[in-house]
Amino acid sequence: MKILRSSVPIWLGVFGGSIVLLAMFIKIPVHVGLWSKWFLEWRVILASFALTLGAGNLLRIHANRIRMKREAWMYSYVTIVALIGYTVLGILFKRTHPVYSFIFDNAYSPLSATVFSINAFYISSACYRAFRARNGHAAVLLLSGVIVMLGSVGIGYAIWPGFNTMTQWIMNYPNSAAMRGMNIGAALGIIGVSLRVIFGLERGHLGGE
Amino acid sequence: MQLVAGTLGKVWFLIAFTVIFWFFVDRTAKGHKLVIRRIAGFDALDEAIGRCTEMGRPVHYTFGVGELDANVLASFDVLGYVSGQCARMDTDIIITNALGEVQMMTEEIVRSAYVHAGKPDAYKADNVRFVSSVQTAYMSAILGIFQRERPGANLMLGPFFAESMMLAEAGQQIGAIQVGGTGRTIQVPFFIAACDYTLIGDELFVAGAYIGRKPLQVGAVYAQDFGKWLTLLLIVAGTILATSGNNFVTDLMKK
Repeated sequence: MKILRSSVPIWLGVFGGSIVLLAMFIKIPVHVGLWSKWFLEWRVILASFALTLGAGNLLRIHANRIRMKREAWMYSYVTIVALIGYTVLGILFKRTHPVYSFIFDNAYSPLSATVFSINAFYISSACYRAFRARNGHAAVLLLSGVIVMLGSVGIGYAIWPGFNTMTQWIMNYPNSAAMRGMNIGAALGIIGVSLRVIFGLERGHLGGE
Repeated sequence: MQLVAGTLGKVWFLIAFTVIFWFFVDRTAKGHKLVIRRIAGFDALDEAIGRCTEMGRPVHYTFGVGELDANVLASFDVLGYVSGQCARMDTDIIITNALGEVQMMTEEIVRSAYVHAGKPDAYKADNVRFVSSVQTAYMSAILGIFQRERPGANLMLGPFFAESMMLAEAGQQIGAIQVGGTGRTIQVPFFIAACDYTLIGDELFVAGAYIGRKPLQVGAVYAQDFGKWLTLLLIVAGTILATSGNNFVTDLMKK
């Protein structure tokens, strides 16, 4: 049992990671190349099955919430009915059925757009806090933020055409340099994690501390 | 055996990186002590959990809606540590997931952490929640948790997309101490604007080494730093050579 929980996952990581990595760089024999393709396909299949298990977890938690009458338990009925009802509808009548499309277009899409639109207010309040000039760094952030905002909208150009040029300079030089530096660091970090998985040194995903 | 076209430079870089990687792993395996600089985001984890314990509020932990990648693997190390600390301090931890496969692994990690902490009975299966793989539903579910269960700490470590801003700001509004970290650099400014502590660039990927202080992983982190020096060397050498009309480095990376 311990072998199944620790050694097997590590060796699967070593084997799968090595094959996929080799297939990216070397023209390997066709059957080995197929293994790489299979590994990537299995991942999609496993993810689909795992989604079903996730849905099971969702149902269990909301059923418990109703059973124990926890706070806002009545909304759990909405979740359960929507999850089961829409799944059954999709299985029985396919995704092209008018009722399926009607619910998607008139319930899901507007709700989704509404939630996403709230982001505008969250961004505004975050900007307000971040842009307060409490120290030198925050003052630079405030100044560059104001210039980029003015340079990105028509009214900024109407006030002074130079905002546009300054915005382009900020975006092309300091901003690009910082972002590329972070990207290189993150890419090396990803390579490091991947090598640790391939060499069997990374074990955080197997549980424990 | 032939190389795939356009990968020669990458292969050389990977070989060099792997050699450095094993050099430092070998050094740490032989007992050489290597030190990692302090990372405020990781040091703040205990502070965040302690605050939740004092306030009697749960810790909230989430990975974002991105796929199961190196960000999630690195985040698992943090989750194992945070879960163990929560178990020891009798503080609830709520984990929300957007991916089914991450949900399964999360359940196992948190359960193991409670077992290792000697409190297997304190593990609450209902606190490891799959909420939705759809971004807006995922955000709505977490906003609901914030309002109903009011976590005292909000830890967001993983592959985040546009949900980063909403979750971080909503967490700030309920007064939670927040640590954000992602390898998706485009989301880092949102975390910086709204979180108390942010893990920038490759900081998230050293979680296992920093938190666990596992010698072999510390060696791997040193290799990452040498990789940065190697990259810097290539950039500087490439710039100087290209300016003087020699495209050796540029051509090598294109081959």
